Amino acid sequence: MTETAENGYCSFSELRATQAVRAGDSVTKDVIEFLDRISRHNDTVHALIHIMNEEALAHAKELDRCAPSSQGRLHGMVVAVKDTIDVAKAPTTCASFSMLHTEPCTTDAALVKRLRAEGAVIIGKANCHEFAFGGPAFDLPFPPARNPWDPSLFPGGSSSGSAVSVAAGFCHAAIGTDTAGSVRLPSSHCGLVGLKLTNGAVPLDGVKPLSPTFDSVGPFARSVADAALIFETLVGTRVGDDRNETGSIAVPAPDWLEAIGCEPDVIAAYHVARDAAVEAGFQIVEVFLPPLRDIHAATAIVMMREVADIYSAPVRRSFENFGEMFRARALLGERIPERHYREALARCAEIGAVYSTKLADHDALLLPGYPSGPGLLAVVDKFYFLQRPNLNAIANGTGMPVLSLPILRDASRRPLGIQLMTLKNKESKLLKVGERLESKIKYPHQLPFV
Amino acid sequence: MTEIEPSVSPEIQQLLEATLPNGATPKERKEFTQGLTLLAELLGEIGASSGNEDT
Repeated sequence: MTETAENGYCSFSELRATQAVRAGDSVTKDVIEFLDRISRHNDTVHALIHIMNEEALAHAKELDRCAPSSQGRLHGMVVAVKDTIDVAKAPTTCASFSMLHTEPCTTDAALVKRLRAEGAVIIGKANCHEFAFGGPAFDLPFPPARNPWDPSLFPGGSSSGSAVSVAAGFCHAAIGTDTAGSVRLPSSHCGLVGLKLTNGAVPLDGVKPLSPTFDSVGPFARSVADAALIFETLVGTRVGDDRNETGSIAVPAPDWLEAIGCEPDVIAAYHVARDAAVEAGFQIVEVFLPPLRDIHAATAIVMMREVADIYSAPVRRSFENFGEMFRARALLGERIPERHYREALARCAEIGAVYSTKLADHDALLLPGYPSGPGLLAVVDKFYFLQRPNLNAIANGTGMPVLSLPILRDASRRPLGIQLMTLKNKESKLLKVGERLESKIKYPHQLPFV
Repeated sequence: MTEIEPSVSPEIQQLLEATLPNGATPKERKEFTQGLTLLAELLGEIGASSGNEDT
């Protein structure tokens, strides 16, 4: 981690650009710096629930001995991993009492293997909501993660600890999962770049499922370039060097946007992004999208039924070992008949086809990051997600990738972001769009505290 | 079995007893009832959109 003037700090890619080859003990130094910062601040923000001091230092020393010619594209990138994803020598607890005494994993999840193969150092397991189902909750083994910009605020979730780890300066990047917005919401609330990958783009072996139809993973980072490096590593492709300066960005019609009920500051951030897109050479094209309510029922039913299929039996076996929120949700899904589940799946496919048609001629669809900025960290209604349509569910229901970008911090320092969504498996295009917007927006990446 | 709310219909009461284990608190039972209502609405919407309105 290298701090710059005014409490700002470099992304991993910026750091690499200044050091053509990382030599000497630079990786070890970075890990020591991060561990020091974790030791001073983790008790305030509760980002990490298992810190891998010895393992991270040993791996860093090994990397520092690596010949320049054999350094991977993530050489020395320090990464936190959500605690629903297996990391060798650490237990996967899913932030649940039901998994608290699990033995340490003997192998890495497939995606963690890919990160390590390119030189990433895993520094710890990140806090999350129980089994990655939105919270927060206060009856779990670990206190909920707090927003580093104001610890009284919610940092978003369920990949809360992953986002907080990066925003608080505990690592260069982190990995989360996203079933209904769990990468995008914390990205927006913590002021980070987040990438929700196309459903199925990365093998999920070693990742605890929540709703397999919608489950996906993605990185949190401090720049689009860092997210692109991780994307390339996870998917095994290259983003490329397209220098296109034209293109078009779709935006929803005003009444569609109005129906979401965004806070004024969220709309302000949205317009900053829209203006930046114009400045970056994109044409803005209004599109008519299906009402959000259409996908809401379908995605909620599919998710609830799949959660019940996996977790209702364990919940029945040891009811007291699950948090109140998770156990109620897991059992509620049992009441969904097979026929309705099938109809909901078919509905998601139909809506996915509509979105594919709408986005076919555009580089991306611009959406608000979330209708509201980060609010106070407090217990939420168990079934809030059944009551109101979730903007983030569009991408899970359609399987499409989304790039979250930080746009601004409001008068209270709360970060606000936007989302860019595109067709399945077009992450490379999305990342190029993101780079162009990022260069115009110039979000002030800073550490929230020294 | 814990009493729920006087306003809860016998059908919902029966469903709650069948679904929630004995360890569930009265508050959980009350909230679960609300969850069942919300879920029923969503099932109705999906049924309507696919032409099968019987839920």
